Amino acid sequence: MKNSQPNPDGSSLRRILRESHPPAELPRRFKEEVWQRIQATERRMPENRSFLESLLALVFRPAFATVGLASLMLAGGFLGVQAGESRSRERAQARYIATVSPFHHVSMP
Amino acid sequence: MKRPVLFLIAALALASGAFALCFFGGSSLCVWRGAAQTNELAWLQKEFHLGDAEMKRIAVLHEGYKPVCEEMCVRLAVKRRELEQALKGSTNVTPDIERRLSDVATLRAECQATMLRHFQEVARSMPAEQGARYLAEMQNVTLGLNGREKQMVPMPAHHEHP
Repeated sequence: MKNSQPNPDGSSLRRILRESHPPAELPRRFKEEVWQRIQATERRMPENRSFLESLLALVFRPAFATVGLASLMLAGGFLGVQAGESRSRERAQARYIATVSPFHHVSMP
Repeated sequence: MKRPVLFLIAALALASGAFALCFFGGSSLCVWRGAAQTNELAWLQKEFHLGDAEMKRIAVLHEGYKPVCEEMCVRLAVKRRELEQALKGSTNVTPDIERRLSDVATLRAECQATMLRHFQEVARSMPAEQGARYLAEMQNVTLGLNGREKQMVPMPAHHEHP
């Protein structure tokens, strides 16, 4: 025959279980610390930028752009002068040789 | 196209343009300055670091050699024309063509010897080290030693005697 009476030990069992799992206590200022961590992470990655955008942000910084452009112009001028000197030297040599060698047909500029 | 890509292309174009502008500007300036130099002996003075006294001696030698060079030009042109006439319409090497080829070769050797003597005289007017360098350079350029001969065609019509 089935016993329909509630278990007289049920309530005591629940009490024992409750006592064995005391409610966890959060450390003090837990929420505040969590928010600080989130903000710190956001500060490190202010925007969700792609690599290209980050590169452009770096390149278009006034100081970087000015120094970069000036360096390029200086390098261009220096290499241009070197190339021009070389061409000029060749032409001057050709001009001299044209006056001393009867064999040289030199097309002058 | 995304905006960053357009910005990058614009930046690269600007940088390339600035570089090219300075490169061609510098190059053209040097070439223009060189072309403005009309003295044919200027190259010698600059290349071999010669002083005024040395340049005076070389200028005298140069002026003395010019008529000789001109005469050689004319003689070469005549011999060349004769050879061209003999070659016209001929299908085989006749004794006449052989003789004319030999004439051209003899005259060519004579011109080369005269030219070499002039180079040696000029070299002697320079400090020893520079003179040796000049002589080597001239022999390379005019006689094709070390495979550096420039276009060696007897074309007096284009040969310049300012």
